[in-house]
This record gives sequence, structure tokens and C-alpha cells, in this order.
Amino acid sequence: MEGPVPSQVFPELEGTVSAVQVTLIRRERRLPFPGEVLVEPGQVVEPHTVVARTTLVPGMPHVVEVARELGVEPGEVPRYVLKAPGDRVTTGEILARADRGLAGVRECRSPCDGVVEMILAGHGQVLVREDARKAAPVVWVDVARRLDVPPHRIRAFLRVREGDEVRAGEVIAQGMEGMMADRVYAPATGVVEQVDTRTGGVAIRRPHRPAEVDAYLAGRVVEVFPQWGAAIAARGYEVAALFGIGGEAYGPLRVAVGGPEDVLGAPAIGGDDNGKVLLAGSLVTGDALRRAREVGVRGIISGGAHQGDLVSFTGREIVVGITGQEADVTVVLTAGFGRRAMDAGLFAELASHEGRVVSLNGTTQVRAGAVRPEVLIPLEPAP
Amino acid sequence: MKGAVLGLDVGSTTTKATLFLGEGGRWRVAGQATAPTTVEAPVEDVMVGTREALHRLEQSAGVALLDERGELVRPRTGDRGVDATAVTSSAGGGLQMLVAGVMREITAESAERAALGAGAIVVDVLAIDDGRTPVEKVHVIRNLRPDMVLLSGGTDGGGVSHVVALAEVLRAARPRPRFGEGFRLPVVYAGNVRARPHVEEQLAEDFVVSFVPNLRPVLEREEPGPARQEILRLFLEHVMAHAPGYPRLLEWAGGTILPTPVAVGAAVRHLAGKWRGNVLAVDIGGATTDVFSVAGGVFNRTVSANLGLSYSSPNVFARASFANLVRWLPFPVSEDELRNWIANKMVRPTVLPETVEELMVEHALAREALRLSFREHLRLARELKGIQLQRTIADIFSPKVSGAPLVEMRTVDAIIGSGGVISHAPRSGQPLLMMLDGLEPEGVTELYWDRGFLLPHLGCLVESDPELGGRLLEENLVHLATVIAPVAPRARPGTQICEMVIRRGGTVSREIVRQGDFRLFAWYRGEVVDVELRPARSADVGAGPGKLVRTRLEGGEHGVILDARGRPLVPPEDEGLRRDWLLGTMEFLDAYPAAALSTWRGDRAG
Repeated sequence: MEGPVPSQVFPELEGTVSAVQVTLIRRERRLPFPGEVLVEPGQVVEPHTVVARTTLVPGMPHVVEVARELGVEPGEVPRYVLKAPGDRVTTGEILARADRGLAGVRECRSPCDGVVEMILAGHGQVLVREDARKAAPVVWVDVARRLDVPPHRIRAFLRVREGDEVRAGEVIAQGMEGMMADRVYAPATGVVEQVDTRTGGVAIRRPHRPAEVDAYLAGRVVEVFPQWGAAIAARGYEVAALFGIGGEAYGPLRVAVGGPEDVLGAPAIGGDDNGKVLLAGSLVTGDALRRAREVGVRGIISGGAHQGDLVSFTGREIVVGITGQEADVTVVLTAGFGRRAMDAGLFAELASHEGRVVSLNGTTQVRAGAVRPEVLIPLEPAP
Repeated sequence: MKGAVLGLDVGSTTTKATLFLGEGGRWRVAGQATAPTTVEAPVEDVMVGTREALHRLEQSAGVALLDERGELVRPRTGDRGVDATAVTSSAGGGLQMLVAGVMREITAESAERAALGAGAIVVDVLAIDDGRTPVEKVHVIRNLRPDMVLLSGGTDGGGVSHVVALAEVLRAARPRPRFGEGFRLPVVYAGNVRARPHVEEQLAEDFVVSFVPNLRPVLEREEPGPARQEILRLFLEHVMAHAPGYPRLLEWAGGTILPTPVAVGAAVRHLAGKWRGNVLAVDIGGATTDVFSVAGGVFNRTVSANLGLSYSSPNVFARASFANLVRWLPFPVSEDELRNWIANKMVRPTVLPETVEELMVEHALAREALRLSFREHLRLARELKGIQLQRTIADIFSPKVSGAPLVEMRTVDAIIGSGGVISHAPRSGQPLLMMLDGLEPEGVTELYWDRGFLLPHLGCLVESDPELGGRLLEENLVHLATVIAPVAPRARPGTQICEMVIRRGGTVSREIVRQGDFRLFAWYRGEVVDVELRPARSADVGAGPGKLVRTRLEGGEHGVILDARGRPLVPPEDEGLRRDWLLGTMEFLDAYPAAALSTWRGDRAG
């Protein structure tokens, strides 16, 4: 498939990412909250090896002002608390009680389902940790403002109803033909909980998942961070690219084009590319991106891509060069936007590793303290 | 008075050096030079770029500033060195702060304002009600690498649970600072005083926590002052001291490096005081557009962190839309071409436009960045939200909404345009057009151009030497034009919307203003003209619909401009008419090379 021609208006750009050398690659893998580390120092791991896991993300802490509610001094609070740290409580269950004689009996109740975490005598407070599973987060999408329509009319533009399951990137509302901002995409996967015609918003409730971190990189565990994770290291190639979308991904590399000038179109992607990382040349087309998603391609390394294609592929605008979680196929660009040939040396180096499992991450922060997207080709575990 | 003052601004992409020389009571800009900022890898020493800029300044201005070891000579001895420095910095994207508050619209917004007022870029605003899970919040914080955190939430004596929850998320994330490994990230806590022990318990181990009075002690009052001062102190003593090369620069600066926006703010405040009017100033950078206003004596600053011309230019595209951008371009371009060009600008922020077309795309982006960031300024520069205002019978008929804007364009007396794309524009017609089209002044407004980007230096100088700084400010700002812009909603093109009675040099003349007019009066600097503006019943020239305005005008470099193209400014729908309309104003102000403009007129004719 032939790609679009270079720009007629603007001159060509200089400067692309070029070939690289073998180096020691090290990546730290950490949980968001403390949990259990599942690997040992010296262990050889594959990218999919789970390094650490935490089953329960801590719920919201509720600080109950027991002294104030009971009308007693903070130091007296432990005398009146009916629960001990570690006790389970339900919403409305009595936490503390004080018989104040003529003033009557005063009670203090739990604001949530959860566990009593601490009794702070000095402050006259009790901390109850809410059960995280009871507190699924809600994402709010302001459909009326995005489509510039009155809030009470949003149902006419919605493609979903309460109770529908939606996937991140799915169109949930569409404006009339010719309107500027004509589509609203679901920012998260979940269930539509509420359509509010008073404010013009749609609420999506998201499911809970345990948090895990995998090794991402094939290599050796060189350091363990108790409760948090581990560092993995390998000898190999590390390519810092220019721009990317999507988070961490890995899979065997397949060279999907003939050379660094070639365009990767949809017909070049087949069903057996499931789970693979594809190497393109100067451009990956919008059709190819969609085809890659259909067949389950993990990642694409290309010289260029049209910015508009990446926007429609991810369902959201690329705004400040801070990316990372928006796509199910990770795309890493080495030369820029539009049709831009990959550096010939880099293409040849990457192509020579066809079949090897590579890791890549599209996360990009262009700004200072920059995070560059990367392609990692581990050759052997670190000694 | 005789002397030499060095202005240094270490920006996110370039380091700018300006030398001011004074002799016999007269001061002048003796030279300017720039060099790439070197705060990041591979160099990682801000002094390398600073010395390079000074070497270039020495060559271009024919002066000697450094000694043999590359150190700044101070005080000036003979003809070598300087007497004073004015140093500002927004390197590494300036002071990047993460802000957290309980409710997005209440304490988090107050905290955001406090951080902005202290010259920070707010990289994210965390709130209990922002729709993100704690896991996502942790990931966001880890990815952002801020320089400092401002944690607020809760009124004094109110609930503490949510603030504690935010502190827990922060502890779990343990964000890495951008500069200096082993350096503990500063957290300014400005929330409910009752939550302090919990916050300390959560954060003391991994962070440097300072406690300041609650910035929203009660719902009805905001007290950002102590938080702002603490942020500035920590910026200088903590963040800057760890940035590579900064300890040396701090010595050169005599111990004070101001965040660039703080210095620009000082300049704007000084001018508003001197002119006794309402002043609006804009500074378009690579990453952000800062808007400053002094209205009714109240100073406000907002940073549109994602409306800059390089790092965040795709966001300008996304927010403005393709249609709104191409309306400022006189040549055809496809959406793909424009998107790709802008995205390439984002990943290669130091590349400058090479052709007139590229320059025009930058200027189109600048117009839209101005339009959008001014709108954000109106959103943030407003009364407090979340409070019940006392209502009277009269309010039922004209309800006063909590959160009313503090700035109104028709009451703005002067606008100052600054920042790379404006300050370094090759022709003076370009900043004029960007400000006219992007900000749409209303009524009678003077437009000023910060040519050469001197505001940061001079704002810094105003703080240390108000007399000298103030004088240099007034001498170096270019008065581009005084604009008369009548606002006549729903007036059709060609209808009379205003009459002007002009008293000039003893003669009186009348001019009829029609909707759609764009005219120039050749009254230049030094000439004062008395003008009476008599608007039609529905038209407003600054005093309200149909109300007469008498004013004394002084023109600028482009004289006095009558802009009756309409508010809001809507170009003709027909593509040919739109291009003529656009090329007309560009030619009129001699904003771009005539040869290029005539090509596009020719294109259309052909």
C-alpha cells in the first residue's frame, strides 16, 4: 500500500534516532502499594514473569473525631472505644460509647465498612480504613460541554445507557454532522452508572483489579526491594526513540517491511502476528494500526506515523507530549510525524534481531526531566 | 549615574543575556545574546550555557564581562564586568509543582492559584473527587517528577480524612525529584491544621515537610500568602540549590534567582501602578502561556501549562481545532500536514521556522494560545467558589454568581505582549496582529510590545532597584498602537455603529465607523489627539452600550487603529473572502513580506 506523499507546504526535518550499541540495561519494577515480592535475587526472568503483587489496594482512611463527638478529652478516648485495632466494622456500627450521666449516652459510629486501623489517643481520633472493594472509583465525562450541547439534551447524542459496559476509547456520544468536536470517547473501561441530564455528564464506574508488576525485560533479578518489587538487568540494545503511544509491551520481533523507506499497510499484517512486535519503515498507516489491534499485535516500531492517525487510533488528542496509557498497541516512532524514513543503520540493526523477544514502551514526556519512549533488545541476562 | 547591569534569563530552551549600560543619566540596551540552556543531559550544568551566552554577548556588544577563569567580574572594574545582575529562571520547565486538595473546585483550586501565584507550573491537580483510583494517582505522581508538592484541603477544624488519604497516596508514590538524586522532595502543607500530625507521620520520613497556615481556613476566605512565600523560599533554598550548576549561578546572582513569571509579574504590577490603570500582560513560552492582570488594583497570574508553542503545541491544536487555526492562514494546508508539523515542533522544540508559511503557522498557534489562555485566566481570576453569597431582593433579579470574573476586557487600558514568538517576531506588525486577533481588545486599549524579551530582567530589577528598573521598563517597551474597538453585537457588516469626533491641532473632524471597518489613523508617538466616541445605542466603546467616551489618545509605532471587525472576531465563511480579509489586514500592517502575500493573492486569482 502506498503512503501519503510528504508535505507540500513545509520543508523536510533533520535529525532522527540512529543506531545504538550494546549496553547494560536495568529496569526497576515497583508496586504502587506494598505487597509481596515473588522473585529472588539471581533469578532469570522472562518479560511476563510476575515480579510482585498486591491483592488489596488500601481503601480510603476515615478519621473519626471520637473525642469531639463524645464530648470527652482526647486522652480519655481509649476508655470509650469499643473496638480494637484490626477489628472489622460496618457502616453505622458503634465505634465508641460514653455514658455522660445527665447528658445522656453519646455514641460514635463508623462512617464506612472497613477495619479499625488505629486509635490516636493524643488527638482523640480513630482511623477506620475503608474496604477498598466497596469504593470503586467513578470517572466523570462532561458530554454536554465536549459536544457543546445543552445538558438536558445529551441523551439524544449518547450511544450508551445506564448499565452498558464500555471499553476505553469507545465512542459514547456523537454530535451532529459538521460540528467541530463531534465525538466523545470513554476515558476508561467500566460500566455506565449514571447519565445526568442536569449537569450533562456521564459517570462510568470502573472495576477493581489487583495490582501486579511483571518483569517487562528478559534478564536477571539483580536487586530485590522488599514489599515493593525488584530490579531486572540484561545486556542488550537500548534505543531511546522520539515519540510513542501506549505503555509497556513485549513480544517476538517481526520485520514487516522490506526496508527503512517502506510503508507498513494493513495487508502486510496477518493473523499470525498476534502477540508480536512489528518493525515498519517510514510510516505505519491508520489502517495498519487498526488491523494490528484486531489481530492482537503488541507493538509497532516505525520511523513515522501521521499524528492524526494516532489520535483517531487512541481516541484522544495527543496534547503535551506526555503519553503512556492510551493504546492497546504500543507504537514507538524514531524519526517523527508524517512519513519519515527510519535511519538505515537502526533499521538494519533492529531487523537483524528478528524473532528475538523485544520490550518496548511508548511512554513519552517531551518536556524537561524528559521520559523517552524505548525499545529494548535484551541479548543475555546480566551477570 | 554610570553603570552596567546584566540581565540573565535561564529559560526552558534558551538562556538569554542582556547588558544595560548607563552613562550620564541615560541607559541603553548595549547588547543581547542567547545560547541553549544546558540544565539537562548531556551537559547537566546550567553554567555552561550561561557562560556561552555571556561570551556571545561580549562579542556582540564589544564588552568584557568575564575574567580569564570564566567568572563574572563584579563589581565592574574599569571597563570589565557589571555592577548588578538581575537573574531569572524557568529552566527545566520552571518550578514544576504537583498540587493536591480535597475538592477539585474548592481547596484544590485555591491551592492551584497559590502555586501559580508563586510562579509555578502546575503539572497536575490531585483531588479526592478527580475520578482517579489511588493506584492511578500513584502512577501519575511517579511519572511526573515534580520539584515540589503543595498539599492542602479541609477548612480548619473540619474533617481530616481526605487530606490524610492524599498524604498516603503521596507517601506510596514517593515521587523522584527531577534534579539531585538523594534529595528529599519538599512538601508544603497548607491544609486543615488538625490534620498536621497525620501528615507529618505519613510524610516526614521521605519528604521535607513544611507547615504553613491553611490557605483556605474557612470556606469564605483564601489566604495564599504564606504558602506562596514558603514555595518561593523552598524554590531558592532547596530546588535551585540542587539543580545542576545553580549554586554557582546563585552566587553570580547575589543570592536571588527569581522564577521568570514572578519577575514578569513584578514588572506588570509596577507598570499598572505607574499608569494607574488596568493592565493585561501575556507571555507565550514553549511550554506555557502566562497571563497576568492587574484589574481594580487586584493582581492575578495564571499559567496555561499546556498552551505553549513547542512542547505543548499539539494541545493548542486540540483545544483550538483545525478550523480555528487555518482561519489565520492565507494558504491551503491539509489537516494531516498541519498536525504533523505541529507535532514535530513538539518533539523538536528548538527548531525555528524556516519559511514564511512556518512562521505564519506559529503565529496562528500564538493567536489561539492567547485566546484560550485568556479564557483560562478569566476562569481562574475570579471570586471564590463554593461560598453562599448573601442574597437580597435585588439579587433575585440580577443574581450574583459565586465565582464572578475579576477581569473584563473592555476595562483593560493596556496590553503587553511578551514571550519568544512575540518578542522575537521579525516585524512589529506581527505581534500587533497576534494580540489583536488572539485577545480581541475592546473599547480603547494601548498595545505594548516587549521587543527582545526584557520583561524578566526588568521585573527582577524593579524588585531590587525600583527607580532604575521602572525607568528601563518604560523606555524599552514598544508602544505598538492604541486600538479603538467598538463592540456591537449582532450589527450587520456596513451598518454604522459609532461616530468619532476628532480634535487634532485646532481642527475638528468627524468619522463614521461601520461594522467591519479596519482603519489606521496616522497619529504617531508624541502627538496627542482628543477623541469623542459616540456609539450607536447597542454598541459599546468601553463605558457600556450607547454610552459616550471622551478620551485623549497617543498613537504608537503603528498609530491609532480602529478595529471594528466585530467581537467575537469571526472571519468570513467563504474561503475566498476569508483569505482576502486576512491578507488585507496583513498587508495593511506590513506584517509579512509583500512578495509572499501577493503570491497567495495570485494563487487565488489563478
